[in-house]
Amino acid sequence: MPEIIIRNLKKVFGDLVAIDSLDLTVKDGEYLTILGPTGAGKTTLLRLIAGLEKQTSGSIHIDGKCVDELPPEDRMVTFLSQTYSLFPHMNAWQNTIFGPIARGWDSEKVDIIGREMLEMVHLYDRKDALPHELSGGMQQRNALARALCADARILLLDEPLRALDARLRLDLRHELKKLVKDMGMTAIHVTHDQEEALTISDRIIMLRDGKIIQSGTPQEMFNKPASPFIHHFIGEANFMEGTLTGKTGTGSRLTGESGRTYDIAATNLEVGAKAVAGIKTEFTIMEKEAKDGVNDFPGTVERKLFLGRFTDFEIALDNGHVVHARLPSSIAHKFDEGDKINVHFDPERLLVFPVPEKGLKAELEMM
Amino acid sequence: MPEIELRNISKRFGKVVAADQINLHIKEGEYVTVLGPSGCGKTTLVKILSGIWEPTKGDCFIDGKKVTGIPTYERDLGYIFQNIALFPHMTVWQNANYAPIVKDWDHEKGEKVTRESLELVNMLRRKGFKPFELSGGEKQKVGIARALCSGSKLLILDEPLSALDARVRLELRYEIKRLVKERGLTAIHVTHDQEEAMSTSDRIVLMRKGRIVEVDTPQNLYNKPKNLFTANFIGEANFIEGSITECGTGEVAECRTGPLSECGADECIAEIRHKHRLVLKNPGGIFKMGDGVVIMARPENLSISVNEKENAIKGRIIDKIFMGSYMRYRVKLATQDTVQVEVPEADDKIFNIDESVNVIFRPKKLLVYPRPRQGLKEVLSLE
Repeated sequence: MPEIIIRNLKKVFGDLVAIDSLDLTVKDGEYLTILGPTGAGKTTLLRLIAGLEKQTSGSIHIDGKCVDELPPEDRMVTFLSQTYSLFPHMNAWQNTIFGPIARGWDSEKVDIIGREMLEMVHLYDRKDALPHELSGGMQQRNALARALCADARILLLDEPLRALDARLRLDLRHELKKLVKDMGMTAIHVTHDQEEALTISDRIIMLRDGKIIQSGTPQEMFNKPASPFIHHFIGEANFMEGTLTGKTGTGSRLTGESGRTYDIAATNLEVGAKAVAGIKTEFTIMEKEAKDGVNDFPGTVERKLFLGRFTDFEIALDNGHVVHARLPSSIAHKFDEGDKINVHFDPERLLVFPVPEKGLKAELEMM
Repeated sequence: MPEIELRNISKRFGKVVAADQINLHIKEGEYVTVLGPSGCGKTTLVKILSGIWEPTKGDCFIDGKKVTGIPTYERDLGYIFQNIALFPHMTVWQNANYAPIVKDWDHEKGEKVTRESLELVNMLRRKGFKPFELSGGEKQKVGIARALCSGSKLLILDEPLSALDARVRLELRYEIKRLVKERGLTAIHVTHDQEEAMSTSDRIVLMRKGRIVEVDTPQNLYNKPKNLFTANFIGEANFIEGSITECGTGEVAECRTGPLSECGADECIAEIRHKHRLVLKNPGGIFKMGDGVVIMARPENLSISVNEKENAIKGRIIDKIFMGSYMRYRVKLATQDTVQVEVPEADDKIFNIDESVNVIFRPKKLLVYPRPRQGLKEVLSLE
C-alpha cells in the first residue's frame, strides 16, 4: 500500500529556493493538506511528487520504492490541477474512460469502472454531455472521475475547488473527502484556504518559504499553532507584544510598552524575555458591563460586520489598541457600533511565542 | 449623486435568456451586491448597466436619466474587473493617475485625487513600483484606486476579489466597503461568494437563471429567507420534508377547511418520514392541513443530546468535523434524513462517530416553506 516518504527535498529555480530541505512522510490512506500563502512552494512540492518537476536534490519514495528517476506515469499518482483540462471534443463518458482505454484494458472492464466512477460523482446521467454543456462543478467532478479511473492509489489535488463558486465548494469539499476515503486512496491536497484545510484533512502541513513550519491535525494547528503566523493564518488572532514580567498561578504575565499587563498562557520562555501573545478572534470575549479584573479592557465598538453564521467586530480599546472579535450571530445583536463595552481575554487562550526574527509585522505579512 | 433604476430589463443571446424581466431600484449611496451561482445572469446585469451590452428589452436609468444607447464612457462610472488590468509599463502612480490625465483635469486637482486614492488603499508607499513588482492583492488595490480616481460616484465591481487568495480576500473586502462609504459612492458589486456579499453589502440581490430570486438585507436573507433557494445559498441549511397533520389546538376539524392561522393556534405539527413528528411554531397562514412542507434549520440552530428531549429525533453520528471554535456533526436521523449540527467547542460534551444521539429541533428556530412542485432537489440546485 502506498506510503510516501520525502527526504531532504530541495528545488531551486535560479536564485529562488522553492522547496528547502523538506522532510515529509504521508501515511497510507491519509488525507493530507498542504496549506500556505501564495508563493510558499505548495504547488512545486506537489509537482515534485508527481514527477512533473525534477528536484535539485533529495529523494522521494513511494510504496518503498525510490521514484526519483521515474516518469510521472510510473509513479502510481494522479495529478488533478485547478484548471481541469477535459478534452473539449469528448463527452463526459469518453473523458472518464480515457485512461483505461489508453492502457488497453478490455472493454468490459472499462465499462464497469467508467460507470462506477461517473456514478460516484453523480454524473452518470450526463455521460453524453460535452464539457461546454456542463457547469463548472460538473466539469470538476468529471475531471475527478477521470482521475479516479486512472486506477492510481495516490491522488494529488492542486487547488481542486478553487475555480468553483463559493457555495458549491462547500458541498464538494465533503464529497471529495468521502470519495477518497471510500476508495481507500491517499490524497495530498494543496490549498490556500484555511477553512477548506480544517474541514477536509486528517493532517495539515503548513508551508512557508519552501519549509514546513508546522504539521498536525486540524485541532492541533488551530489550538496549538507553532508561530504567530500560523495562529493568524488558521483562524484570525489579536496580538500583544511585550516583556515577560512574572508568573501567575498557571501561566505567565506579559507587560506591554505602555505598561499594560496581560495574564497569558504558560510558556517556557524566561522572565525578562521579549514575547508575543496572541488570542483567536473567536475566543476574544465581549461584555456589556464594564469590569476591572485581570485582562479586562474597556473599549468602543468601531465596526460590525454580519457574515451570516458569525458577526465580526472591530473594537478600539481605550488604551489605543485595536482588536477584533468574532461572535456567533445569534448573540451579536447585543452589540452595536458605538457601544462602550468590556473586552476580556481568557489567559489560557492567550498563547505565547518568542518575538519573531523579523518582528511581528513582517511575520504576519500575507502577501 | 447616482440613483439607479433597471426597468424590465431582458437580455437574450440566441436561445439563452441571460436576464429575464429584471426590475431593480438602487438608492444613492447604497452598496448593493448581485449574488448568484455561475450563469445566473449577474455579470450580464452589470454589463447592461454600464453600457458594455445593450438590453434586448427594457431600460436603465442613472439619476433619472435614461442611458439606453449611451456609450460606457459617457455613463460616468468606475469599473473594477476580476482580472486586474493595470498598464504593465506604468508605475502605480501613473496607473492611478490615468483618468485625471486623460480627462485633462487641472494638474493640481489630478495630483490631489490620485494621492488621496492611493492613500486610501494604503498603496502610496509603493507609488514608484511597476505592476510586476506587486502581489495580486496589491495590484487589485491599485485597480481600486484607479477606479476611484475617475471621480465617478458610481462604482461597478465585477468579482473584484475572486482571483485572490482566501486570506487576502478577507482583508480587502473590509477595505472596499470602507472606501465606498467614506467616499459616499453608490456601489454595485457582483460576486458568487455569499460571505463576501454579506460582509460588504447594504442589500443583496440574489439571482438564479436570469431572474431575481430575492432582494433584502444580509440579515434578513440569512435569518428569514423567503424561499428555499435563498436559504440554501446564503449559508448552509438542513431541509426536512413533511406535511402538516395536526393543529396545536387539537381542534383538527376546524383546520381542515382553511388556513391554519384562522383557528388561532400558534403551533402545529408536521409529520415527517417514518411517522416522526415535529412541532412547528408560527408556520404562517399559508398552510392548510395536509399541505406538504419543507422544514429548514441552520446547522447552528440544531443541537445534540444523549438524553431524550422534546421535539427531538433520534439519530446516529456519521461524521464529525473540527471547524475551529465549533464542531460540526453529520447525523443520520431515524427518518433517513442526514442533518448537519454545529456545536460550540466550549460545550463540554464531545460526541463520537457511531454514537446514538437525539437531535433537538427547537420550534422557534425552524422555518417552514410549501413543498415545491418541481421537487426539493431542483429548487435547491446550484448548477
